[in-house]
Parts: sequence; C-alpha cells; structure tokens
Amino acid sequence: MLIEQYVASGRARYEYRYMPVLGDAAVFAAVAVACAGEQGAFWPLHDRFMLADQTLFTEAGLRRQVEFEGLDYEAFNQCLVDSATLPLVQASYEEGIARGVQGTPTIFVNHERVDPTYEAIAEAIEQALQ
Amino acid sequence: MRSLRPWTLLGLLLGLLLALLAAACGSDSATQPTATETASRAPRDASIMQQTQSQSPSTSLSLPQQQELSQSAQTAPPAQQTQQASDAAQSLPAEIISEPKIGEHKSVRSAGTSLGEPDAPILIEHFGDFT
Repeated sequence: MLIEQYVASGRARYEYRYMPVLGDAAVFAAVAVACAGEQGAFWPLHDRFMLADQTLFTEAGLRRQVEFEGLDYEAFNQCLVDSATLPLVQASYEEGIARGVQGTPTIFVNHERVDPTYEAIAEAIEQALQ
Repeated sequence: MRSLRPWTLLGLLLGLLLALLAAACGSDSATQPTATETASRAPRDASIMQQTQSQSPSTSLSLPQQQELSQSAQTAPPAQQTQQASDAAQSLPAEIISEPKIGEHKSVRSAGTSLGEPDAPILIEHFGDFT
C-alpha cells in the first residue's frame, strides 16, 4: 500500500537493504537475491523470498524460479558458488549495524528511524512532505 | 485283474488332455475382460479423471507452480502433504507469477534494489531479512 500510495505517485523512493540477521539461510537468500539483481531481476526474487517460499532453499526450486524469470541459470549459479555478491550484502549489513539496526524489519524515512508499521511510516512521510 | 485295452487307455488319456485344456481356457476367460467389460469400464475411468481434475484449484497454475507443488508433495512426509500443498498454493499468488519481470515491479520504476523516482523527496529505507 505504501508503494502504491507514495512510491508510484513519485513522492517517495523505496530502497531495500540487505540485513541478514537470522543466520546462514538468511545470508544465502540475500546472496541469491543479489545474484538475481546482477542480472537485473532483484525484485522478482525478492518478492519470492519474501513469500517464505521454502522451495527456494533447494537447488531445484531455486533453479526453476531463476529460469522462470528468464535469467541465465549458469551465470546465476556461478555467482552463488563464488558468493560473488557477498561483499554487497556484507556492506549493506555493516551499514545497518553502523546505523543501529539490530533486527528486521527496520525502516528509515529520510534517515529517521520509524516503527515498521504502515501508520508510523505514513505519518513520517506525511510530516516530511509538509 | 483285467488289463485295459490299448484303445480304452488312449481314450482315457485323450479325455484327461481335453479336461486340462478346458481348465486352462477357463482361467484365461476369468482374467481377460471381455469387450463389453472394457467398454463399460472406460466411462468409469473417465469419470474418475474428471473427479480428479475437479479437485484441482479453480485457477489454473502456471508450470513453475505446478512443479513446486509436485516437489513439495514428493519430499514431504505423507501426513503433511495436504497441508504443505495447501500452504504452497497460498504462498504463490498469481500476481507474482504474472508480474512483469526484469526492470519493472508492480508498474513502478525499479533500479537495483530501489523502487520509484530517483529524485523523489522522500527516501524510505527498509533493512530486511528474507527468512
């Protein structure tokens, strides 16, 4: 709803930051989504992982989704094997730590931390727009 | 004791042979359905197929969804198969599958991990985890 209300209307920009605080699976997912991002498909994989689709944690399931999105699976897999996007994820994580992020989701509106609820975010946006 | 004549013995042997043949034919007819039986079973099979199809979700699933459901069912313990298939179906809304792919996200401009116009006055940052 925030996306439709504020981002689609051009009043706000939304940026996702990797903050894998929940262990190895979280790091794997972040690296995988970033690898999809290397081929310009961050959002489709982001959406799929956000749905908690557990098949994405299997090779077959991940391959199906990557190929469905029209990506080069061999390049994607090589990216995963090499953890090529780990520095990107690590940098995002360290930025989060530096900004006091301790859990997820954590939301900032114009660099001010707000509660991760629709009401709080909308209120912060409305105040910033005034 | 009176011995059997050769013709009598031959007759007995032929009778025994015929009886064996008759028994063999009888068992064949018991296992192979007749044309009538086959014809009457076909509509029942078709009915079962229709019943199976009617139990599928009313919205057609795309190939990846079907494969995922299939894989979930194959790998799950039998007692959890139904629940997991149901959960998987719920976790795969159609708008994700049919969404525009690279470079678009819900009709909003996207670049990398960003959505929206680069010069928008408000920046929303979301530190998130996928698990």
